[in-house]
Amino acid sequence: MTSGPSRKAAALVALLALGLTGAAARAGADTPFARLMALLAARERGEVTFVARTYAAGLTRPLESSGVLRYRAPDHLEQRTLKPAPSDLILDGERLTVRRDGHTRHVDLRNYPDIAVYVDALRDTLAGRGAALERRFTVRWRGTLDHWQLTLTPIRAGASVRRIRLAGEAADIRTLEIFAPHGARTVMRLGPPPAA
Amino acid sequence: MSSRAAALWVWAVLAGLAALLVARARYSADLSAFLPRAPSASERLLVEQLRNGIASRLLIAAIGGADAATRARLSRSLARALRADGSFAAVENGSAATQRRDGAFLFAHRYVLSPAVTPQSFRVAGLRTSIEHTLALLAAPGGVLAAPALSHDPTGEMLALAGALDRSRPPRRAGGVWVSRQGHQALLLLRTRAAGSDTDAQQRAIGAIRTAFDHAAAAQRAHATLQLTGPGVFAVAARARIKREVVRLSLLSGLLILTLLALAYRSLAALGLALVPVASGALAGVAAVALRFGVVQGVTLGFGVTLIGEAVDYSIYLFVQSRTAAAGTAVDWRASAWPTVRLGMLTSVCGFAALVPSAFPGLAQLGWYSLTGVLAAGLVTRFVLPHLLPRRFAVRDLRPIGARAARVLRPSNAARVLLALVALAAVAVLYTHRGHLWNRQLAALSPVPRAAQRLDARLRGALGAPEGRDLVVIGAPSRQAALQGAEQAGAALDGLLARGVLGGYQSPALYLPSRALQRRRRQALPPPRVLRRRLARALVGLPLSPADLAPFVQAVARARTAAPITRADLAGTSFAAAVDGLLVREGPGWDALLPLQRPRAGPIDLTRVRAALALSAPAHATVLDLKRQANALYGTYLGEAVRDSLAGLALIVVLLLATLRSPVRVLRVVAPLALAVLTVSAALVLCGARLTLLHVIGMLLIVAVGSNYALFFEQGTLEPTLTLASLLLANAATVLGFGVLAFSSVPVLRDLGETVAPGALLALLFAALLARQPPARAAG
Repeated sequence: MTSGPSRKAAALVALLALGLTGAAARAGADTPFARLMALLAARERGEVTFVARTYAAGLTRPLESSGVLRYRAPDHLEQRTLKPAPSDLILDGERLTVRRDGHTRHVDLRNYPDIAVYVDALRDTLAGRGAALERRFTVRWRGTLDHWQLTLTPIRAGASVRRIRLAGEAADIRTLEIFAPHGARTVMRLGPPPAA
Repeated sequence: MSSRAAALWVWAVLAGLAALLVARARYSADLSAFLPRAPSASERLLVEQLRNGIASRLLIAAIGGADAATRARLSRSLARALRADGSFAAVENGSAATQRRDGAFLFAHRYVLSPAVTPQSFRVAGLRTSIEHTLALLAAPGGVLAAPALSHDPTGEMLALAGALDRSRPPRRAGGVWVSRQGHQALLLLRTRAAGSDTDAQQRAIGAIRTAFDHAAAAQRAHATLQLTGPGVFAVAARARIKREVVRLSLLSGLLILTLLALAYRSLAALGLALVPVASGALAGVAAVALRFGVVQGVTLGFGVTLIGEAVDYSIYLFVQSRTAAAGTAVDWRASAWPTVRLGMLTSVCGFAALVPSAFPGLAQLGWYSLTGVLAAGLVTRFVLPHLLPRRFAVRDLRPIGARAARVLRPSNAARVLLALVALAAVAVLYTHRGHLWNRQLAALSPVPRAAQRLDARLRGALGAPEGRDLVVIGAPSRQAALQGAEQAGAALDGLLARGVLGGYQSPALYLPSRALQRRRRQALPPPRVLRRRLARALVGLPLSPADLAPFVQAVARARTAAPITRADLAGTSFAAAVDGLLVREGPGWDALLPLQRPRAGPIDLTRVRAALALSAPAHATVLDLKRQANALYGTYLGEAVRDSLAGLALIVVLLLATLRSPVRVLRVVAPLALAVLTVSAALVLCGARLTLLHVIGMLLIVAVGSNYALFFEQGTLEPTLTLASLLLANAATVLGFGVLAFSSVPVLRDLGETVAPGALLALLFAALLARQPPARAAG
């Protein structure tokens, strides 16, 4: 029903700017969540550094890793981990390339529903695809557009991702938390892009 | 008239017996017409794989139309229905339940299944390396999803196992079932219990799939479509197609020939009588094949037309030439023309006899069928048909037609020169095309349409199902030895996989390691006390406490003392079907099959595979390239057909030499036939055809049929005009019969038709133009 996510995004931004919410109101476009999505959708690309801490039962101290996240609308996502061991996850559409220990594997994301939950949450948020998020997750919004928190709980039963929590300020996502069963979780802090 | 009664009685009894044999014979339309009768050891493997191998039993069902959710539901209900059906050994649709059972099996037996389990990997350094690796994975974003398994599997055995089993590209999944690459079709992989060569059983299995699908679609009110592919589907479709075409074409050519004869004879009795030798020949031919081979190939019946072509000639000669004697008795024909017809018949018999010893059942049956059929038709024409003729039997006088033809077909020096030029041109064409004269692909004979072959390739690719093309076969005296052989071969294949020679492979030993390997892996696992001590040292400085790894120590302790995995433990998983398909009883021993997948770059370099296996696999490992080896086999047959045909030609020359007692006369008979064969071959090549086995058989038939014409011209008769008329009529019947075949969609029938129809015409034309003296002058 739409003609490409970027054009849709542009249209939404235009609607917001003009304050013409009549047509969009049917889709609940005037909520802060919808406005956040429109803001995110307006961005064609993005690059941030991340520092991730993983907590799990049995770990005496959290595990730390760091690297770079790159996004390009609508479907390209790269997660390049640099420390402690280099590994790359590169996603194009549904094709996931995993590079680790000098091996490259190509897998279809749809065959790995658990990873897909995490990857879809991240990608759909970055692309501002609110409707797609609401199809797969129960979305809970807290705060204001300047200071927000978004909790995504998978609708599909039995997913190993219990929930994903994002927090940020306007179009800048600051933290991303992934909750796994038995209290295990990863907290990712996103910072400005590396000085290249 | 007692001799008359005796002849009729003998004929009736023999015909009755033949009819009985024909009615009770078994008919088949599978690949076996194209497989050798007495294979060598390596051919045995090839034939076994083609007929009964795992690839021959695989069917792929693709559900299209409707929406994705409906297709997934249909896939599930179809799978449920087919699992309850006894025809299928395995029904896979990528369902979540099977995936869960697969995962549970792998997890429960990870320490005997994982190739990473060695004594080193459970010493302090090995433990530390693998635990550090697991922690690094866990630290990466998204890695946290593996955290719950940490205390059970800190060494990452499940990951190693997944890597080992991921040797083949897994199919795409959507909505909990397998789907095609584009996602527009839900896919099911089915393995029949019956061999692929058991066409009846395949037909029943296909019927069961269609019925189950129709029920499922009706229950869900879904407008969905079902596509099926696989060797069984091809075999069933081919049989139906051959059956349909044989009936249709035989009827059509029979009708055309009958119309021709009706126009020529203007007598209903003559028409009926003309069928007597044809029917007798066909009956005798089929009965003889049934007696000698047990099974009658559908393709052989397709050649029934060849018999109509030749057998109808005999009665034409009898009827038309009988006018010689004004009184209308046939006695004169028996004295005047029968010796020539008999010689023609014997040359045909010689030609076909050369095919009978062929190792290619298709050829041998064709030879035997034609030989006995022609003989029977000839004998019936000579000894039975004259007795059946009514007292005042006479067909229309065809002399005017003969006379008109004689004026056109006048031998002359100009004609001879022209024919010499034609011969030269034909030789030149064949010489310039000598590099690509022959089609050496077995597929050239395949009745499977291109579109169906493409669909099959696409669905197979999507499922990562064995393409059934490249295969390592390990022969061993026992099940365990076969598994050990598969493990050794697997080690060699792993090396090739790492170097990109292979895209992947499957092996039964991945899911069911040999007892010896299971024992070695269990022995590599330290007892709990030792493992705890080693863990304590390995974890120094790592963010893991030994106390939290108690589940790991318990799991290793359980694995050390567990009973070995057997086939029964695989029940309910998708691995059961894989093992059953890849580990098969073969005579007194067992074969382990390792289907190979091509790398992305292109075909597999089989010489490297053979070299690697020769180094590491002591068991009897044979690398089969089914397609190439089948083509090689076909190439052998092609060569054999050419040799047999030449032998047949030599036999014919010897027969003619013995009868005519003059090399010049023999040359005069053979020259027009050779010229016809050359011209037709050159014309086919010019039209872009690559010659197949059936073209060669067609050439033999040109010689067999054409020899009658050439002999009549060479021998000369009392009534040349009438003889020419009978030859024209006989020729027209042959051209009609084979001309119809040329329009068949079954390649073997088409190749034959497009060779013999023009060839027979040219044989008559050339024989007339090269005759010793103008027939017209002799008549006047």
